[in-house]
Amino acid sequence: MHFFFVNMLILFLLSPFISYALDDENCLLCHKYRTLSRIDEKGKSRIYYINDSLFHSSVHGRVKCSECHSGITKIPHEENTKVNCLNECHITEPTEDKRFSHKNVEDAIMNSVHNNKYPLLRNANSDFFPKCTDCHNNPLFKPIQIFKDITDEGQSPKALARCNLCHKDTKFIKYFYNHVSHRLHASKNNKEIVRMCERCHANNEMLSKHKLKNAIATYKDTFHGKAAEFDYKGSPDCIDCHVKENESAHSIRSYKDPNSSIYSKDRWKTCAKTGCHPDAKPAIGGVRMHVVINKDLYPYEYYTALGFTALTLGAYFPLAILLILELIREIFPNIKRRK
Amino acid sequence: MNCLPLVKIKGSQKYYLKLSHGQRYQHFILMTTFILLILTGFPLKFYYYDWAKTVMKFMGGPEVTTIIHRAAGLTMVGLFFFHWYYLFRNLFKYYLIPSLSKKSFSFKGMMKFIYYSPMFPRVKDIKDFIEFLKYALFITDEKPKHERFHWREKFDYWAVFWGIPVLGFTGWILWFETLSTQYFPGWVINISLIAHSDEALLAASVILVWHMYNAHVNYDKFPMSPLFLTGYLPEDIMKHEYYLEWERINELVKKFPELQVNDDEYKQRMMEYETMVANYFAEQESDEGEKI
Repeated sequence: MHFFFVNMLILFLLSPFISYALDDENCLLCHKYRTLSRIDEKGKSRIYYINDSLFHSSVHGRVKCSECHSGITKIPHEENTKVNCLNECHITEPTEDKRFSHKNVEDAIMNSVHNNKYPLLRNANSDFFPKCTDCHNNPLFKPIQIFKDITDEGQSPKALARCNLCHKDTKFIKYFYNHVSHRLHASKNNKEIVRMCERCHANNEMLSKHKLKNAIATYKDTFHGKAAEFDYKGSPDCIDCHVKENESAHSIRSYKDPNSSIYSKDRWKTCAKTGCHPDAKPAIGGVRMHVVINKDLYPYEYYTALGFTALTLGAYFPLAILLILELIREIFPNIKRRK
Repeated sequence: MNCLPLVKIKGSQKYYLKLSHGQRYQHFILMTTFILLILTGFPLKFYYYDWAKTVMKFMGGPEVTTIIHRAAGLTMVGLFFFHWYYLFRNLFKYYLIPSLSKKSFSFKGMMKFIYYSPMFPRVKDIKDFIEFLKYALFITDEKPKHERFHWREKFDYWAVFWGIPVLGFTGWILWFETLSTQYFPGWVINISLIAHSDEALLAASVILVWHMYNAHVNYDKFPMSPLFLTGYLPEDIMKHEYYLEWERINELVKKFPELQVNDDEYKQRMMEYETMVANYFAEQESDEGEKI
């Protein structure tokens, strides 16, 4: 009982901070309860609790629930109402005064390998093409100190003072500040990007359906992957090579596509980025980054690996056998062979 | 073998010279660079194990290990070239110059000199190996009698002799990847990576298991052979492992006793000398006292 009152007191003291957020639609009436959950048809437990303060420090903190969850109109809610990221929402884009939408991403995706209408696909099976939410969650604004390795709060008071002069709404200023500073850095680090791509590109079922090889395993075997694994500064992840520098991260194309960053003739330009291999010549495009040990695809690599495996086993095991024979002989010096 | 005694008597135990100063230093450089290269290279090869991250952190992270690895690699390749120089120097010093001054030089003689140089594989090694197999399989009780270096040591030596060029050359290609693409097709860089890491695994497994066993963990020598530190082997190991050499050196010492230095005797003499000196000063002091 005592514990309950302490909790209530804490909640009461915190309430001014928790309840500042917009909730015109009153969704939090139910969704504020931590235990709001169920087990769905597939046996997965699903949690419908929304942490209000966490949500409001995310990039979508100023978007109303119903603008993404547009399929929901009544209580109890309809079944299978997935969010549609291409919805227009009530945020206005200040340069054009139009309602904001992620529609342009769709254009980039339609020009990339990640949709079933792309002409250079090995197998256009529409089951397994990524939707927005397969790669994106609802990320929090990462304060700048994560990138700069500083301890004080990410928002520089000096910079905020410049905004304060004209803009009066501090909540808006902070939000806008985060909006810009968030985009100055990649929101995912190398390992997070590899882990994101890994969910499909290291999934054997999907790979066999798309007639692809495990690109993550082969990446990790290269120095690029190893450098990322050990947090070497400036190590490249999937997007660094597979997207042209001036394009959206969504524009990943086939190596057969002349517009692609890894098109065989232009590949060297991607390698020759500043900070990577700036003195690279076109010949560097001949180095293969996703080598699988396969006789038909990579004959030189296959026979080298085969030769060295044979050499290693052929040298090591006979030596190990000799060693064991000698040990046995030395431990039991008096055994006589039966005649 | 310049100025070290061939046989040393210490603690009434005989020690036989196996490695000269230079050879010991060569081994030391090879050993340290080898260990550094393993410590900085293997975490990369086995990045998927947990220990890889620990070792990498211990060695200072990837920014530091790249430098250590390259410096150690360069040193090892430098040692390889030095060893070639060393081999030719020996050829000049022990065959070409004496034979030319005696005007007995012949190509066949030179080949014979090379064939009988201590590390060169010869027919006797094959015979020794067969003898060893017979011994190991309980067919005979006789162990093969070895000369200066036996087939196991020669195997180690030639493994390194072929390993360093392979690892050095592929390492050089991987180090200067953009430069090497200008001279080689792309797949050369790919197979260099495979060759470098596989050859390193082979070298490390052979050295850490086979060489460590033969040199240190072996029945006779456990826990450690003093050879790589002192350059000398005690008589029991000599007799056991290098019987023919032991015989040969003993005969040589009989003929030229100056090749043997008795450390015990020397120590005894030194102590006598020290007491002599001490007595001398003590006497002088007492003389002075008397005078006053």
